[in-house]
Amino acid sequence: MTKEEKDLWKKIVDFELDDPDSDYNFTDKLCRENNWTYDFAIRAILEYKKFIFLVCISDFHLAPSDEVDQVWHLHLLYTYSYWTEMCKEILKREIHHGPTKGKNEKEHFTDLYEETKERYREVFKFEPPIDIWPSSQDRFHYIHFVRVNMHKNWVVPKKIFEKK
Amino acid sequence: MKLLKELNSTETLFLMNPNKVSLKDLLKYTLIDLVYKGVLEIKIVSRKSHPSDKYVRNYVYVKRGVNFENYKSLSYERRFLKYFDDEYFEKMQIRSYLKAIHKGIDSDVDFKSEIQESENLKKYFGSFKINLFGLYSYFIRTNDGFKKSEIIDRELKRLEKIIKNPKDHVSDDLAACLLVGANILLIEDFDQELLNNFHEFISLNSVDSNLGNIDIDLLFTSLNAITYKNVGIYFSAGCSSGGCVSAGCGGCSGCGGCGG
Repeated sequence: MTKEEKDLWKKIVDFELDDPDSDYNFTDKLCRENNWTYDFAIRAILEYKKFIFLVCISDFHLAPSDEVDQVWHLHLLYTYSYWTEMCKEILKREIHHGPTKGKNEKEHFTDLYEETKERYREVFKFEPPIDIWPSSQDRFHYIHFVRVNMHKNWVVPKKIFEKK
Repeated sequence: MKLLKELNSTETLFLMNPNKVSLKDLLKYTLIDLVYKGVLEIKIVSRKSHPSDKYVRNYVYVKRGVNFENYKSLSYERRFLKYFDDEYFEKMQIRSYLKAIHKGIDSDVDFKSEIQESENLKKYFGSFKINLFGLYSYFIRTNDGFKKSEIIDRELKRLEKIIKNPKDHVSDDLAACLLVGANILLIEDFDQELLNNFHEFISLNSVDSNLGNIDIDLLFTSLNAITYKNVGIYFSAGCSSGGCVSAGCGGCSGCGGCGG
């Protein structure tokens, strides 16, 4: 990393998504909405920060994993934190989130995703964690998500019926 | 105070009362011990969350300490250190940190079993353990373990006497107090004032220690930052059931609305 990049990384690390004075924070909400463990959510937030950093220092488009994308989506809902505090005051640039336009873009996004992971390796000098940055095949295959009201439904994972 | 020099504060607590000691206390003293040893550091930073923030906020962080790289951790301590294996994970707000560790433990029994397996304690516990469906467990000390816990109790009382009345003791006794590590925080009514008085006394009396390469001033600075009460407060916040994911909604009343 260059000196400028190190400075930027420090600013991103210092930027807190959790309010130290609040009992129900961004991380709590992220856990609840995704049924993630707290441990996983904390790691996913760090990977989101790495992703934002990569976007800032790269001159081509990048694609996040679904896990990182979920952190990004939630942060976008905290509009003041995202647009004013992070983009305007910390990063000094706007980072827009562009949803995919359907199946015909799948190949394009697969390439982008692979390039993103390559950029990650190049900058951070280690392999992106597989549970947060899965393979392209998993990333673009297991993508059928819906909101489920857990008060009214039970969710049974298919894997318990799968043969070992 | 031989035993107190051998065992860390978590092990002492567990050996003294394996079945009654609470998970929160064990976690708290594990963190305190790691900070005391310089493996982790607790840092309070007062700053604005972003440049135009109206308020200066206090962020309490846990981060790598000076001895992080060379420390050989015990298995139950891995829970406290694993986050920092990623070199880009520089620091974590203490509330999130404690909460993540607490939520990562399935039951008190699991964590206690990990402690019991530590090299220093194994010999003081029998291999037989009463275990009901993994939810309740009764840890049985050997005769030796039981005797050792009584010795520790006496050692802690002696430690307390010395620290509360340092002028009544010879300098060897005072120096010995500094060698018991974070066990010093286990004495009853331990607080900032007691610590400061003791520090002042041993400084004025130039207590020479057999402390090897431990810097007394640094040691007291760490102790100041991690007194039982300080960490206790953050721990309560981190582990309150209302804030944890399993407790469901934390009271959000839906969308906060837009500013337009």
